[in-house]
Amino acid sequence: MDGLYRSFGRPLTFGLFVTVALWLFGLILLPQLSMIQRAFQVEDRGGVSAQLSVEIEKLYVRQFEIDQQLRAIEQPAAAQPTAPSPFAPSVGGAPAAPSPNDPFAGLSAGKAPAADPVETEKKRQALIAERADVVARIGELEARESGPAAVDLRYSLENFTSMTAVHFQIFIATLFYALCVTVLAFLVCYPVAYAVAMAGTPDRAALLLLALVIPYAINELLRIFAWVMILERQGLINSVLDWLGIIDFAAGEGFRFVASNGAVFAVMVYAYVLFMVFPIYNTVETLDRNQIEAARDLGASTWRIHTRIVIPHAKPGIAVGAIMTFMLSAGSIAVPEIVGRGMHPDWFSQVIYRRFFEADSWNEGAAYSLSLLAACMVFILAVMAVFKVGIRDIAR
Amino acid sequence: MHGQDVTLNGVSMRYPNGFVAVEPTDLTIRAGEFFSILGPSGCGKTTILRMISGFLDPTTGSVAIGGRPMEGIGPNHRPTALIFQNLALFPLMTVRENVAFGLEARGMAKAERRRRADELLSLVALDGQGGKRPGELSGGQRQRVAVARALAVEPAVLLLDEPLSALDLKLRQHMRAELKDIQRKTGVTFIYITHDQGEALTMSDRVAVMNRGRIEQVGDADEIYNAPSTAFAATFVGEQNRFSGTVVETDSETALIETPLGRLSGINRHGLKRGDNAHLFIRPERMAVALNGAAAGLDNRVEAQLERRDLEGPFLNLLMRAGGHPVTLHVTNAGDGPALAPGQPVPVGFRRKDAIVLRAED
Amino acid sequence: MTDQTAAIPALAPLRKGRGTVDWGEVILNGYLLLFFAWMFLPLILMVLAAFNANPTPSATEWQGFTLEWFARLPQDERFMQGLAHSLIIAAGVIATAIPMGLAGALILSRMQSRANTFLYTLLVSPVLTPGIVLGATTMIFWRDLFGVQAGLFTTIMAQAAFIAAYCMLMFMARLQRQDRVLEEAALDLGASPFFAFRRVTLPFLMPTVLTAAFIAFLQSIENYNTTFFAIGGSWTLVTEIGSRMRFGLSPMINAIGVIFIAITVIVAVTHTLVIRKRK
Repeated sequence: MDGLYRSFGRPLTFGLFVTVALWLFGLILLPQLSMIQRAFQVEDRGGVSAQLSVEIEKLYVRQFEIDQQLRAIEQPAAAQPTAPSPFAPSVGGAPAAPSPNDPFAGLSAGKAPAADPVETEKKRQALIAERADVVARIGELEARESGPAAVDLRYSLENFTSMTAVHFQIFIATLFYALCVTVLAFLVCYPVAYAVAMAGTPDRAALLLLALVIPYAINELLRIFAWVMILERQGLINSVLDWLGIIDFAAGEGFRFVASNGAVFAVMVYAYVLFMVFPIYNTVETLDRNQIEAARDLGASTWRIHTRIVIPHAKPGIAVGAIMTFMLSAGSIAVPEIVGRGMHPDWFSQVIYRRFFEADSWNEGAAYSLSLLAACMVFILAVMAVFKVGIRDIAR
Repeated sequence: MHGQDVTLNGVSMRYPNGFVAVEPTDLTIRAGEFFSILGPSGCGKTTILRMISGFLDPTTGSVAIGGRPMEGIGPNHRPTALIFQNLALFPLMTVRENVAFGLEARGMAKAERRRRADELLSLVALDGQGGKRPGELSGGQRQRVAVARALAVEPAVLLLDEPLSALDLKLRQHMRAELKDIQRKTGVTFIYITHDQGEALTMSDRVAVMNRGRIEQVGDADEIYNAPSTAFAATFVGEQNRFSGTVVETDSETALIETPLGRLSGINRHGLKRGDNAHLFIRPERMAVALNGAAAGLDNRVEAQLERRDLEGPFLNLLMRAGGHPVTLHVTNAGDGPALAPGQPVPVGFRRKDAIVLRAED
Repeated sequence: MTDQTAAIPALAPLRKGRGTVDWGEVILNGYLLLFFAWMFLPLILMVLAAFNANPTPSATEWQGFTLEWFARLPQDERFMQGLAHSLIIAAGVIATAIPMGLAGALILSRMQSRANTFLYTLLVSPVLTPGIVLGATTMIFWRDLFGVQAGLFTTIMAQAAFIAAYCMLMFMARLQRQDRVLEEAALDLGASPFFAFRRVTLPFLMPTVLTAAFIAFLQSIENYNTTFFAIGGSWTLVTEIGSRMRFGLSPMINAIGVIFIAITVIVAVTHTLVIRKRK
């Protein structure tokens, strides 16, 4: 603290801490906590809250009826009851109120005897009074419904334990695929990173590096899309097969590659492989080449040189590459969404998405997200332990 | 600009890990003097400088400048300016902006500080170089920019942390003269840190010799060289021949010690008594070859054997061995000296009043 | 196509063997060639299809050269609106992530405390968190606590969370190369800490601020996973591309791809040339 005051003075130090606190709490910790809270929170919709919404629904219907009757009284001539629906849909985060069904509209139509003005006025007053009553009651119930009192909130592990067998299988399969992507990416990348790092001349090194940077910097979606073009039913591979006479396009033959998990897997390797190349390249590049020469001089085989000298030196890079590749593949929604377009079995990222946006079950979505995050953390810790690297080696 | 005095009152520095960089020290540096702190690297001299400039707070004791206690006053509010070892010129600013920086920090108007900066640049003979970047200047020029930048804030005390160490020998000698000149012109108190005895002795009014966090001796160049008061001060500054033994006899001024090479005597600076372990120090240039009647007046004599004879132009270095102990003599090359050949036994000697007997602490 | 052919001469053997063939080199070079073919061929096919009149994107079933797909882009309102959203988000992310990353880097590089590594770990954690999780947490947080629906604002917050960490890492690398003595020199000359910061440290960091802003801009524009969750009912250029891809292939996407690729290639080549010139 003393060092900070000395360097920046009190006002600036204070400003820096406020900024970091905003980042740390506003962008990282509190969002994380609200997800964790959701993950362990269960809303019993079958209990009090369900009753409430039924009641609110009834009240809305009543309000609509009153409005219709009032309108009929005030404008007996109006034969068309199709005035724009007077009610506002639910406000804020409350569940959507049920929409009025057309049948109600018919209730008031044509029922306008308009016999006695006094009677009518009396009835009108009564209706207005009742309407005010109904509106007040709706407001009260809605407040209760959105407030914590009415929603039957509990904290439990239910969101996790209620995960269906299918979802759990997807979860495990996703992690397994991500692990495979990581291993495969390492096998593919290591020779490339080594070759680029050991390139003989600066010109060659710069050129090779450029050839790596360009695909790396091109948007993930576009690289995925390029493969979709190839794997599509009308895509390149099927065209080639057609040309070879193995299948017949004209007859509607053709493989649906994109509908398979294999395709998702293959595209994932392509999309995330470069996240493995650069970290390894960065560490191999710092290796003193004389070490390799010396080892070769001492009669070490190529295999030994790599297992005993290059790979141990590149450990931090391999760790970073593995973590990034795993994290990106396990959490990727771009690849399964775009390659499969719903034709292949879901990946876990898609399951999470559907929990949030299709099942409208944020609590389960949060629980699933938390599971994914936990899996990634376990992987990171495992990699750090296996490679004996610290957090500062990883995030640089 | 007027120099102010600096007083250290029992100042010490102990780091959290227990390392004591500076033992409790009392020191007064007079207003307007050129004061050097001389010592090997790691002796604590830079720590003292940083405590005076305010970058470090002393563990105990207090620093006062011009009689004003400096406790709780940050480096930016002290009447000191520091010239850093690597100069620390701001690389992204021009030379003029560098020099005017302190004035800018004090809120001086642009035209005024520009004028002031140009004045200072001409004081250090850098007229017309104000628009350049520090990177475009030579080592000596950068040195002068650093001096001008420090002087711009009109400090009462200028602190210099081995500023010449990065320069080559020739430039270093030139800059010594120039710094001394600037100090005389401005009258600012200079506190100069160095491990180079040549720099300390030639430039300073007074020198403090420092070792292991302790100031061993303070005095002018003559005192430091001719009358060192500790074994460290004796050996760190200049060359010495050392003979070790036990005191056998003392009188009011001198002490006689018994050594493996015989009995030798010198000035008894520490008031040693019979039986004390002692070192006798004698400078190579105060020794003489005691051949052919040249022995007259030499109270002490040692039998030695010539090992090598190096001619250094005006001097002759005689490297000898006496009872397995190396002995060095610097004699003037008068052209008529004795013709000595390596391997030859040579008696050498020195006068009692040139030798110093100090307590052996180890 | 140019990158592909340009890469080939670079694959010449590293060392001339003494009359013998270094099979290790040959295999390695052959492998590199395959690797780069794998990297670039799909992209080349995609580029070609952008100029094919065939309404099903294809590089093989050639129906004539056309620029029609490019011409249609500016007329597509959702694309243009998405681009506008992307730019708004990117501006918001830069304005948020740069100060945060800078503050984090300054504190971490100056604070001598045991909490240092802990704080560092927390601040870089978004980089190691799956993008969809970041998006989801941000969406939940802002709706649950403030009733803010997912949209451009939540997207800015979600992206800034991890982009700020990248910026921080860049600033920390730069600060590591700073000569701390310069700050001391400024203080010694009577500058207040704030003045020293403004006049000495900040100018030193300025080039990195620009680089970080550029990287933050690219990261923000290109982000899909996080944005997909945090954007709610709105859309950005990239999420729009994504949803078009899901609904079927269109050469307009190839046309956008060509523009993205062209920008990437130009920036990367310029960057390489500038670096080499500096050396």
